[in-house]
Parts: sequence; C-alpha cells; structure tokens
Amino acid sequence: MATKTNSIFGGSDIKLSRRTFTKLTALGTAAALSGINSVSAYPEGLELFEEVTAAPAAATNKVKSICSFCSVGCGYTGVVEDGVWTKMEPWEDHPINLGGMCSKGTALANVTNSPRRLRYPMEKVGGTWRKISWDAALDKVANKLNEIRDTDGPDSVFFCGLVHGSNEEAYMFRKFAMLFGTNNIDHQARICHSTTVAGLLNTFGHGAMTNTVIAMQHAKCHFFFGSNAAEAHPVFMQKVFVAKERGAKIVVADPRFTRTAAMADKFVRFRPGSDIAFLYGLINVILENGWEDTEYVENRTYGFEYVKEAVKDYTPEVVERITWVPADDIREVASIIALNKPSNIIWSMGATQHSVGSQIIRASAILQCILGNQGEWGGGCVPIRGHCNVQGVTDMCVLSHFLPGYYGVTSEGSWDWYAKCFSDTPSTSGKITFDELKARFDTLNGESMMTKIGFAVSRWYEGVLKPEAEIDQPHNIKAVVLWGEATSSVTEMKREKEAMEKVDLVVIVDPFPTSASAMPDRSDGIILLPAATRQENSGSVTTTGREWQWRDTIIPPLYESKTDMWIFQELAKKLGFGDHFDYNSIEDVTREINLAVRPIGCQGQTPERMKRQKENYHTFDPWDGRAKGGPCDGEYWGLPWPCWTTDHPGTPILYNDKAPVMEGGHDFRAKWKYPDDEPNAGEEIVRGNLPPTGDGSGTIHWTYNYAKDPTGEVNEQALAEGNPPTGRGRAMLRVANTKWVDRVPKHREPIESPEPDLVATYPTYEDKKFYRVMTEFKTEQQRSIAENRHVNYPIVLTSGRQVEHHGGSAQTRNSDYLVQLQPEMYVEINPKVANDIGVKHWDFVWVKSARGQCKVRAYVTERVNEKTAFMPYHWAGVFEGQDYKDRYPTDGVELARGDSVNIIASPGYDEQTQMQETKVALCKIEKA
Amino acid sequence: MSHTAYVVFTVFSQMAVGALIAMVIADFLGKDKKFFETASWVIVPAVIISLVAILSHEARPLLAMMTMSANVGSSWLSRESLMLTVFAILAVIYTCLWIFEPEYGSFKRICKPVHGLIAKIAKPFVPFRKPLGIIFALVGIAFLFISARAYMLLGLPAMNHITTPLFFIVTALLTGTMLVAAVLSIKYMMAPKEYAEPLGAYLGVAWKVVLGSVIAGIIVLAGYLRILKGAAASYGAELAQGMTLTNILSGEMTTVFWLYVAIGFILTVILVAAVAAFLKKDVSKAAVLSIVLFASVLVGELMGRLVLFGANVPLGEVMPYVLSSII
Amino acid sequence: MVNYKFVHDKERCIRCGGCFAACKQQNGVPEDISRINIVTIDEGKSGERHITMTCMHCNDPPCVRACPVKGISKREDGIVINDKDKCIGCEYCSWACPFGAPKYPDTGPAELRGIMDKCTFCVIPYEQTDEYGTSILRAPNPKCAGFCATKARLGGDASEITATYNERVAGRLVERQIGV
Repeated sequence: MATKTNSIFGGSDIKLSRRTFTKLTALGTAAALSGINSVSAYPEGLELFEEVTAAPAAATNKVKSICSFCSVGCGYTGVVEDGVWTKMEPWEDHPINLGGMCSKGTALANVTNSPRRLRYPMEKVGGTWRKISWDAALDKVANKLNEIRDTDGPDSVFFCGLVHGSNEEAYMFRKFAMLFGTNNIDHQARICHSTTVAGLLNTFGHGAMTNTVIAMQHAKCHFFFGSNAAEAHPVFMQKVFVAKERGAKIVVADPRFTRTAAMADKFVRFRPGSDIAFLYGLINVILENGWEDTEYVENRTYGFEYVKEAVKDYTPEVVERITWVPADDIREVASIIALNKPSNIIWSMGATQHSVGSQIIRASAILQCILGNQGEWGGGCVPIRGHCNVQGVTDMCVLSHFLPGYYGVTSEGSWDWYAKCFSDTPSTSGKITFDELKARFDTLNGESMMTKIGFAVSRWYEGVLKPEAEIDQPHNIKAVVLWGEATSSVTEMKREKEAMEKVDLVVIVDPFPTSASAMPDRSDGIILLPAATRQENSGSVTTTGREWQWRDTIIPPLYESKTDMWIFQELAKKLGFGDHFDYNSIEDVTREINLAVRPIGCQGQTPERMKRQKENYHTFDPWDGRAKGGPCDGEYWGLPWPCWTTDHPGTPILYNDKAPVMEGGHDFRAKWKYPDDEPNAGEEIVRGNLPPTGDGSGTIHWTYNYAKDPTGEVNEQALAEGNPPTGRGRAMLRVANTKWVDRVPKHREPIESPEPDLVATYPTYEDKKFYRVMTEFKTEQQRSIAENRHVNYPIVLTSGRQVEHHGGSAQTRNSDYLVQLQPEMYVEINPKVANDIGVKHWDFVWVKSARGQCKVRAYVTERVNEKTAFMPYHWAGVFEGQDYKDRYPTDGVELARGDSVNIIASPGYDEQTQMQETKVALCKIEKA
Repeated sequence: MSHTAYVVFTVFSQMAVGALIAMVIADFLGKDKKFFETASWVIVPAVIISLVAILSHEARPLLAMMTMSANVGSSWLSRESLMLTVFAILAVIYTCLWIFEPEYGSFKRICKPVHGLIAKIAKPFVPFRKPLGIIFALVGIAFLFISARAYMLLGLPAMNHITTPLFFIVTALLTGTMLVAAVLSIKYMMAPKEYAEPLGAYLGVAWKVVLGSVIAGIIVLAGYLRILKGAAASYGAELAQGMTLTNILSGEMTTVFWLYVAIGFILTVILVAAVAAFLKKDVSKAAVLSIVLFASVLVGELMGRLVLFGANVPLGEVMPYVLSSII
Repeated sequence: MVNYKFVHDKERCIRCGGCFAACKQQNGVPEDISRINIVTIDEGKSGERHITMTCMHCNDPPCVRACPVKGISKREDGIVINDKDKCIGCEYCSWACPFGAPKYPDTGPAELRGIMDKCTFCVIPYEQTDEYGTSILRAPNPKCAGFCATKARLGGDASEITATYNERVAGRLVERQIGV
C-alpha cells in the first residue's frame, strides 16, 4: 500500500486519487492512438505514473455550465480534476432544471471524453483516411473555396449547421457567409422550427416561444399537440408536473401513444397530417359553445371574422372523417382546454414538419388568441425548440433568408445596416462599405445575388443535382461545408448522398467523424476538421424560452480540436477578410451582437450581465424566474429577449400587456406591411392608445423606428413612454402578407396521403419555385395517387425522438451509457401488423417506401395503431441495410449505427419555408 | 442465475442423507454386513459432489469455505452451511465405522499403512454403530430441514412453503435408498450366488420405501401446485407465485416439468412394480432393474429440482408491478 | 437522527434514463449491470408507468440477515452498504431482497466479477478502494436523485422526502376533486 492520499470522508463527494485512473483511460488511449507522445492539450500527461508515490493534492475545479443537448437550458456542474473532466454534479439551484437532467445530459462528460472523437484534421485521399496538419487542412479548404469563388462564384459553396454553437459562433458564421458573398447558408432550424418562426412571426410579430419553461408551472392546462416532451425535453416535464400537482390538466393529441401521453389526463390519437382539421374542430366547438374570450378577441386581434368563416365547416363530425378522431373526443378536448385557463399549446416537430407546417402553427396561434391565453403566464404558444441553442442560432439567423436579428436578406437596407455595424463595431478592426459588401456577391441576370434568398438546408442537394438552368443561381453548388450538421436529418437522403458524391469538396467540422464522413461513396475530397465540443468552449446560449445563459468552458479542447471561433478566425484570415474576425475574446462578439441585433431586443444581454446572473443564480426564484434582491434584483433569469436596454429585466412572457414594459411587459407587433386590398388596415391593426411620438409627423404613431438605430435612443424613448419599441398592435388572425396562399389556415392533405378521397376535397398547393429551387406539391401528391401508394404502402410512417439520443446523434451514439440504454434502431409497429406479417418483437424487418428501404428491428407495441408506424430519426451509419462501418476513419467508427428513416421519408416541403415533411409518409413493412 | 449448482448441490446432499438412512436400515437387516459394507462408501462421495457443486457456484470458493458459517446468528445459509459441515463430518465418521470395522471393513485391503491407527480409534465405537447411525440420520434430517429453510424466503414466494422441506425429504429417501440399492446390485452381480439373499432382503424393504416416497412426492407436488395457484400472503407474493406456475405449466419449464412427471413418477412407479414383481422370481433381474430405477429416480429428481429452481420467480421481479399499484 | 431513503414518484417518472447514466458515471459501474433499473409497466397502454428499482435501504434489510458472511451492514444513518472484501458471491442476498437490488457483474475488473454490487446511496463507488488500497467513502448525496429530470426520484432523509412526496400526492388528490 503506497502513500495514503488525503481522502475526504463525508465532506466532499470526490475521492481525490480516483482521478488518475480516469485520466489514464481518457488520455492513455488518446496518446497511444494518435501516434504522438505528447498531446498538446495535456503536456502533463507524461507525469501520470509518478503520482503513485507523490499523490499530490489534486486541483479540483468545479465549473458550472449549460447542457448542450435540447433547448430547455439545464445547468450542471462539471468536476475537473487536474485538467481532466471526471464527473458531473447536479447544479441543484439552477432556476430552470433544479439540478435535473436526462440521460443525455448526465452523459455529457462521457460524450466529451469519448475515445471515438476526431483527434486531428483528416483528409480522404485515394480511399483512405490520412492525418493532416491544421495548417494544411485550412489551406486546402481556403484554396478550394477561393478557387470556386473565382470560377463559379461564391454561391457555389453551401454552408450549413452550427445549431449547437453559441450565439457568438452563430453570428460569426452568418457574418462569415455575408463576407464570403453568399446567402447559401442555413442551419437545422430550417428542418425543425422554421414553420414556427414563419407562423408565429406573421401572427404575433416574433417567431419564438411566447413563454419561458419556468412559466409552464403557472398553466392550468397543458395541451401537447405534436410534442413528446417526455422524451424530447424531459426536464420540461418537471414544470408540467408541478403545474399538474397544482391542479392543471394534461391533454395530449398525437398519432402515437407517447410517454407524454401516458402521463396525460386525456389522450386522443389522430391521423398524421390532419393537424389543422383537428385544431379547427376544437375552435369550432369553442365558438359554438361561446367559450371564446370575446373581450380579448375584440381588443387584441385582427381578422377574427375570417377565422369564424373558415372554421364554420369543420364540425366535429367532419373533423372525425378527416382526423380519425371520434367527434366526442374533439368536444371533450375542446372543453378541457377552454375551461381550464390559462391553457397553452405545446408543440415540437409533430406540428412543424408538414407541408402545411406554417399553417398548423398559425392555427395553433389562432386557437390561443381565441381563448385569450396569449400573453398569460403559462398560457399561449409553446413551441419547444430542439437543440441547445437553436433559438439563438435562429435569432442570429444562420438562415438563407434572414440576417442576424431577422433583417430580411431581400432588403438592401438590411445589408446597409450590417455594413455599418461591421465597420463601426469596436470589437474588430475591419471596415467595409455597403458597396464593397455588395461587390462581394455574384450577379444573375444583372441582379445582385445579395438580395436573393439562398438554398435551404432541406434542399441544398438540388443545387448540386439540378441542371444549372433550373436553379436560381449562376452555377451549381461545388462545395459543401457541414459545420456540425447531421446529414441523416435531411429527407431524400439518397439524393443528398448523390449530391455529396458529386460536389468537389465536402468539409465536415465536428467533434466526431460523424456518419456524414461515411455516407458519400467517394475516395477523395472529404476534409474533417476536429471541432471542440460545446463543453470545451464558451459563449452565450439561448434556451427555448429566449433566456440567454452563459456557457462556460469545462475543459480546454481535447486532442487537436479547436473552437469554432478559432476556425472562423483562421479561415477568414486565409480567405482575406480576417480583419472582420480579429476579436480578442468571445465576449467581444457578444458586444457586437448587442450593437447589431436590434429587432428582437438583444441590447440587454451583455456578457457582464449574463455572468453576473450566473454567479447569483441562487437569488432567482424558481417559481417565476425573477431575482428577489441581490445584485440582479428584479431581473428575469436569462434576460429573455426582447431585453431592450441594459436596465431592462427581460421579457419572460411575450405579448403580456398587463405588466409595464420595464417589468417585462410587451405587446403584439404593430408594424406590418398593410395588405394591398386593405390600405387602411393599419388603423385596425394598431391599438389606439399610443401617444403621438417625437417627430411630430404623426405618421409613425404605430411604431418606433428602433431597428436601425445604433445609439439605442429610440428604445429608451419608447420605454419612457411605456411602450415596447415594437409598438402596440394586434395579433394577425389573418396574415397581412398577401403572398400567402392561405391567409387564414385551411386543411390540406399531406403530399403522401392515405386518403385519396380527401385529397380531392383538400388538395395541397400548386407547385412553387422558392429558395432557388422548384418544389413539387400538387405534382407529387397526384403522382402518389396515380401510383396507388395508399394501397401499395398502406401504413402511415411518422418519425420522432428517443430520449437517449439527440439530433443526428453523432455525440450520443458514441456514448457507452446511452448506447447501453438504446442500442439499436427500430420501427414501432402494432402487434396486429406484426402478427399479420409474421414478425416477432425485435426481429428484423424491411420498411419500404416509394423512395427506398430500411432494415431495422421491429418493436412491437401498442404505442402505434395498426395504420401507423413510428421510427426514431437519430440513426445513421447503415444505409438501406448496408453497414458503412468500414468507411469511417479508423477509431472513429460510431459505437451504435442504424438505418436512417429519412431515406424513406416523404418528399413533401412546407409552402413557406421548405420545411421537410417527415411526419407523414406511406410505407409498408416486410419481414427481413 | 445458473440453477445447475443448486440442483446438483441439493439433490446430492439429500442423496447423501438418504444413503446414510438406508445404511442404518441395512444395518438392522441381516447378518451379511460384509455385503452392506460396500455401500457405505458412497455416502461421502455424494457429500463431496454436493460440496463441489455449491462451491463452484461461489465467486470466491476458498473464501466461502472459510467464512460461510460466519453469520449463524441470523443467516439460514450460514446455518445450512454449518449443518452441512457437521453432517459431512458425521458422514465420514459413520463411514469409518463401517469401513474400519475390524472384521469385514474393506479399508485394510485398500491401504494397510493408514488403516492401523484409525482402526484402533474406531474400534471402541464400532459396537455403537446402530445407535450412532440413528443419531446421525436424525442430524441428517435436521440438515434437510435447515437446508430447506434457507430457501424459504420472503423474496422467493414460490418456495416459501412447507412443500420445500417435504420435497427435500422425498428426494433424500428416493435417491438415497436407490443409490445404496444400485451399489448393492452391482456388488451382487460380481458374486450372484453369495449375495442373493441379502440383496433380496434389502430390495424388499427398498421398493416399499421408494413406492411410499413416490406417492408422497405426488402428494407434495400436487400440494405445491395448489399453493402456487391459490392463496398467498400478499399481492406481490401472489403475483410471483402465479408467474412461477405459468413458467411451470406453460412457460420455459414446461418440457422439463413433464419430463419430471414422466420419469420421476410414471417410469419410477412402473420400475418399482417391476422390481417388486421380479424380487420373488429372479433376484438378478431385480438387481438390473434396480440400477435402472436408481437412474430413473436420480434423473427424475434432478428434473424436479430444475423445475423448482428454474421456474421460480423472485419477488424482486414482480416488485415494480406491486409498487405501481400503490397510490 | 437521519434515516436515508429513496422515494419513487411514479406519477412523475418518464423514463429519461438520467438516473441510470448518472449512477454509472458517479460509481463506475461495469457495463453489464446497473445499480438502478428502470422497469416500464403496461408499455404503450393506458396507465403506462415507469418504476426505478434500486436498493431501498430497508429499515430491517433482509439481505443483512441473509448474508452468510456478514458482508452487508446497515449504517447508523440508514444506508445499507456491502463489503466486497467479505463477499463470496453466493447470490443469496438477491434471493432475500424483495427489490432485486443486488447485482453480480460478469464484466469489469476480474477480481470483482461475481461479487455483489448494489446501490450505496453514492457513498461507495463500484471499486471500494482506490489504487492505494484506501477505502473510499463519500457524502450521502445520491446522484440519481440529484440528476432526476422530473424529480420523480427523491433521495434523502426520510422525513424530508416523504413530506415532499405527500405534498404532491395531496395536490393530485385535490385536483381530482375539482377537475372537469
């Protein structure tokens, strides 16, 4: 027995000398496998073996940070011993999660220390993976991008991803694309909540969750409509259960009896894709019984009569035919949500990923307005976002149609504003004028590509595969940069695979090699850059409830991986605009965001305020998230945007006109482009009680011109007058924008419908060219009927999440703990279906659609009915039954692999946003 | 959980007890002690097999041997282990009283040098072999009960019944009696003329014991199944017993169960009848049949024990259902 | 006098697996066993519930009485712990335990294969001694409860956690009376 260590009995959770073992496992393999003696991040690694006699007191460091999986924003404490992240501890007083985390969160250390991480930049040459230096890798990438830029134009590069990055990194990514000269940049929000943004933004004024997670405790009824929060956002359920124990009802409407449904007071199973009909059925019953909030509808909404007209035909009996839900169930659900107020409507991908996604969201928002819940604590629209910072990255608009802060790309004014911000910011030395910025863009038919919306991430491969004449840009896409983007999350994966094989260069920036490295069948032209995980860098992240939290570095990047900020800076240098990226610290980027991102009020979230909140987390009351006394007195946790000034406490509840603005009050947006057919609508939309504003003209009585005011004076003025700078308008039950085909939602059948009769009555949209590509709506729907898919593929396939895995799952499928919990891909089928095809539980089956097939296990369960099948979407690494494990870089083979549901998912897309329709496809299941 | 160890351990330890009882009976049977002496050799090997079986199951067999009796105060397993040790010692002593018998003890023919001293020690006790044998047999029966008690746990509702020790006694009588009978039959075959009479005497007693035991076994099994089907102390126990019954009658243990019934009861009864029938006509055939009967009894009992352990559903498995029904 | 206990609130458990991963990491439990098992009842049917099964640290633990080598003991604060040096791997405790808590790994360090492992309220990790042979003893601060996403799993002093639990039950009962 060697020297006794200073073991601590009782006082601490940590036995100090335990660290050596963990370090050996984490780093011994690292050093051995990387073929080098010293790992740059851990020069002390060589001293490991001397500690047996010395056993010095370990430097234990506990760092509080924010989980990087779903968007609830859970805090945790990382225990770092001598530079090695050994354990996790609950952050027990964190106002959102009170220490609670799901299996993914508790496995964060395990994920970060995974031996399957990408250790150094790699390149595929002649069919084999080769290690290269960072310098060489960046040179190769930059040279190729420059070459493409010169020959084909900047639009021939497509950037996507970064959904887990901080707000700062997202801002840098968008800035990077702006300076590179393309709008071909997009991220996963396109395929997760773009319809929410479109739907809510055009109804209320902001496209985000109108509550915070904390506020869920105040509701009297939770209506889950297309959300399986128990699996997708487990900690969210903590707040739901608190409300339940205070008398709240839980109603779940879903095609599948989910784990959330199991905890509900009332569950209804409806047909995938019949969402609008179902919601209209509810509104119909509500109006019939006079349960609507008349005063609210009159004072705070516009266009109620159109809704009344639209829902008239959707009687419970009609809805029963469309949705397969008994009419009495519809009446019961309507009574529960109407009589237990404030009630809310909670959705995730179940409502958004449809060809009518934006309209489903609109219908949800209309329901909330009619019940008068919008703007109440616990009431209103609750879209729960999917990734840890997808809200923030959406706000920073890593999107092909917005600039950071939702400035539209189609307006030159937006670009002018950003040229000014890039020049004026004290954070960087670069200067650029609007004309110089514009010159960086290509032109097509004499028009600058600067103001043209780029490709969406759901359809980028069409930019590679379609003939040049059919796409709205000068040349095909020649290179794709996947920055933390899971290729398996995009539908039509076969086309995507083909595109990845056709482009000249694929760049993958990720902590893991990911299935994207194995998917394309190509022998050269893939470069892997090892990015640091989110636990290895810092920055602000925005929760689903718009709360900004500061994420701290637990450990410095392992192996040779680098932070995204470093990669941006180096790459920008090599591409010739490094002077716009010469930030000294990540906080400098935050300050640039504070300066530039004005429409949604990102002025108050300074790094100093966020860090002060983090230090004083214990002063926040978990009941309403507000600090009681202390240095943050009166502030709401996370300063939920809009946070107009550095004195503003944040706005936890959007559109809450009962509180003063300086106490978190807010109102619907007043500034809309008036409908062409209603030139005087402005009067109706704006609530009449606004005092005249300063410039005396009387014409801007409806709003303040704050969005391009670099001084912030307009914000101050609005607040002084007791108004939110967005004005005081009304909720647009009928959208102002006449370009919308359905200005009031209308049920339309999904692209692949199991009910051809209904397609005749409720056909989908006409084909439409948008986001640079022609999109087939009616053509594909008619093709489906012509091919008799509803007969040949009789089962409706829907997809969703598992609690143990996340997104494309590059991280979680490499964690031993999570793989132990959920080792294989499966399809959930009803026992009747299984018995009919002669399949037992956990046998292999083929799931086939008109697009392709998947070989997966059969999970026989009554969660789904005999007309529906369900598959989780996290899986990749197997393609149509063929295991790609030999195609990964050595040591980077994912621990668990499975076939991807998106190979067989529907080719439908949302009519507003190009959101993919993953939730409704037709399939058949055969014994394998 | 591997059941083999428990199956072999319980059956063979019970066989040893039964063999000891059979030897005591044989001691009373007649004058041809030299013939019976041979069978006394089998008691200790049976004990050893059971010991090896149970120790092979432990993760640390050596440590187990040293410490297993440490918790006699509250652990029935410790008590069982202690009793097994005591019984093993008594079995050795009892065997010595046979094989070191000055007149017909066979040990001296095997190893003369060792023989002298032990024979000297044993000599004064040999006359008391019959009363000592009865005492040792009683200790053996006590061991059976304690051994059974070790399996009568709240956590094992299906075994927490009086049927467990009854099964064990039936096993002891069946296998022990027939083990001795089988050894004697082999001995008889070597010199048929010489040993016909003592073998006939022994088998005459043995078939009655076996028949009685089989009938008792049928009654105990019926009682066991009835108990599983019926009343139990609590919801959880009832559930566990019900699942055990399902395992036996229509689950993974069904095949073994019916083999047990077929071999352990039906075949055994037929063979017993045959032995009884041939005993008066042709002892040599009865000898052969009794060897077959031993095999049948042993296989039957092993099957029966496999059912008992293999189908068993511990309370821990059904506890989630119990917990989910509270509040 | 503290008396450490667990309470499982089945009306809150959603089987997120947080307790499982937290326990594995905190205690270094080998791959093929887990100190905490999550059992789903009536999966996919109305009334589906999830129950976490671990050592419940009984007041009168049957395993302590059953262990033939006195390898399991109950501390003064109510925590039931096992001494792996004494354990012979007879698996008798698993028969005595009504919760199926004791586990016997086939993987992990060779000298601990077949040796009983169970929840120790996070007081002792899987390997009970460090590399210097010193026994490891930590504060009674169970990570499964601390990390539980919905606070379904409560761990701590019996009086405190039962009070919390009773409050919830009362809330649910009231709801049933006034509900629609």
